[in-house]
Amino acid sequence: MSLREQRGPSEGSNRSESERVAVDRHVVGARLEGITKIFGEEMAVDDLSLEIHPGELLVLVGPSGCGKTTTLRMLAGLERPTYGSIFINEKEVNRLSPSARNVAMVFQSYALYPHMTVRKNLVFALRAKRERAGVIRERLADVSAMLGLEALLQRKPSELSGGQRQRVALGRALMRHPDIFLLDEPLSNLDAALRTQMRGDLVTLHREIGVTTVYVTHDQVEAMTMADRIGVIMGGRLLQVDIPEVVYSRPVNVSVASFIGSPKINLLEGTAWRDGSKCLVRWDDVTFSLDDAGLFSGENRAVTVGIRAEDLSWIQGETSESGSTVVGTVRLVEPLGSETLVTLDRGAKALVARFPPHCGVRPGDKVAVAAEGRHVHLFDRETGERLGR
Amino acid sequence: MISATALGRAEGKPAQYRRFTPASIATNLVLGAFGVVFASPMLWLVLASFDQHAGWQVKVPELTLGNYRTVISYNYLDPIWNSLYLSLVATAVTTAVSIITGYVLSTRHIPLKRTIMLSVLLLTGIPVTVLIVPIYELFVQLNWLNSIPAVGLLMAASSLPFGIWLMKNYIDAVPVEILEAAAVDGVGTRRTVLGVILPATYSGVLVTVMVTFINAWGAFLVPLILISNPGSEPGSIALYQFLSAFVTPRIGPLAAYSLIFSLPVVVLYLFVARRLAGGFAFGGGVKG
Repeated sequence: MSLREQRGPSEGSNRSESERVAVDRHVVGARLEGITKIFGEEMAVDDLSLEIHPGELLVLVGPSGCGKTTTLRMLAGLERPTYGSIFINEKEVNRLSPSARNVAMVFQSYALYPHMTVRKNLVFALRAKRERAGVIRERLADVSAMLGLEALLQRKPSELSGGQRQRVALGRALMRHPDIFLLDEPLSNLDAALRTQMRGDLVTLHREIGVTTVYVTHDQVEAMTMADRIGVIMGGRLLQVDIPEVVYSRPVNVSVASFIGSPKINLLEGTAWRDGSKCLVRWDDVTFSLDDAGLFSGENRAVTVGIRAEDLSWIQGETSESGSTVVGTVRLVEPLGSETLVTLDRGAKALVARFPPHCGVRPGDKVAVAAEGRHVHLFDRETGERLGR
Repeated sequence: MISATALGRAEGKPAQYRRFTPASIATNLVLGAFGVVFASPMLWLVLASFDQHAGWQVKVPELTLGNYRTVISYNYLDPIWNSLYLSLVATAVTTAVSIITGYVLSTRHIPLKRTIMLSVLLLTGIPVTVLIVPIYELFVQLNWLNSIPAVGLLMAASSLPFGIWLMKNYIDAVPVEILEAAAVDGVGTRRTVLGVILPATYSGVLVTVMVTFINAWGAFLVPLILISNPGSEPGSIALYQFLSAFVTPRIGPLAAYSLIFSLPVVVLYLFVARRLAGGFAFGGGVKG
């Protein structure tokens, strides 16, 4: 069995022809086992275990200061874990220097050598390792063609735009043919339009070269759109690792649910009880009816109800509450072209619902929205853990 | 109406555009007086060096190159070479050691780093002359008296605290990501220092070179005490002997020699100043 066949569950149908052709070279995975990093008094990473499949694009996402960058830096060898082991290609690398791990890192700030031209930036590491001139020339040609850097080779970093610097930083990492590619918020310094474009470019690039990639970002949109798998890190803990669809549709707890997805998931505090094969959840005067009765044990459980904006559907013409229908006053209407986000006040609570475009709803209107039971997420209010399914 | 407005503006011209005010005239007079005080010795030096009958006053010279000829023919250029030797040893040692030490202090985890840095700062304030008696004893024991490179080493040691302090601060200013990028890229310490740190701290290196060189070049008391062999003495001692070697000081050759002696420092200064003016920025390297 080749290493490529061992890839994660996201592999498969959406992978293109070009990807299969591109890489026959050795693709390696990595594994973190019980990694803990303590800076002084502060626990930056807390007992984190993670399997990185060969060839995948794994995105570590979380709010700033959650420990995702520290995790990446430990993989790179720039920080040593306080406890735990790091394996790259089944070999423990805890005590190996960064250079001995054959990983390449792209820094948030790009970290180009300011006094060198683009060409020198690209070849510096290979020159330092006394790589053969022919090999260097060949790779320089490959990389600069792949990233469209040919016209920039004689320029200094100060003469480049943000996007160009970003490409040079990527190119510098690619030149070395690393086993693992580490990217630390590489798009955060770019403007919105360029970021969207680079996002696509990076995914395409990853398909072409097929190198195992760990990508750190605080932007959940980047995570959702780029990742083969997403790892959600919060407060130094890895909360969930899965393909984007699962992280979105079945978040393991309230923190993940509210971090992933834009607009943010609606969270309501309710009470749940069982009624035959049904599970009923009551929030204020509203009752949601869920199918699965095996959600929890006990009676009258305090729960947090999570409903995504797109799961709250507009019931036109309705003005009174009954069952799972919620009536609220429109506070804010945000037309996004393909859809309209409507914020409504109901009592002290604000709910965001996704309305069709040109829905004609205006601030001050009374509107009704309803959620189907199968779209309602249930979390334990004490622990925040997901209940059932 | 329009012209009236224009006129009004012309009359209301702000005061700072006026060329002469009592304040500016007074300022220029005072500064000019200071300028004369500082410039006149230089003027005297230049004029006297070309004057056949140079005296203590500033006057139109009776032009001659005789003073320079005298200096050259009396073997007075040897001390200049000695000075150059001594200063180059001091500069090379100080610069190299400052870069390495500055790099280590800036990038490595070292116990008691703060204490070390404060000691270095304290040492910059202690002149080497304070220690000259024990140093003399040391030189006697080591049989280093009259050795130009040994005195060069001592001058290097006296410039080191400043050099280390300066280089450490310059290297601190290099963004740490650039060094981390080099580390991840597998660039060794030597290549990182030579290929990344040095170009990035170029101006700091030049300042260290200049300050060390000038310090060693102008050193007087240290070589006076440690070098007594006439063949090994540096230019600063030779200059002093010009005043004492003859019954009446020969002012013309003395002036000429002074100018020759200051020439290397002026050349070095021009060389460094031109490069410093370009400055160095981390523009484009990192964005944050």
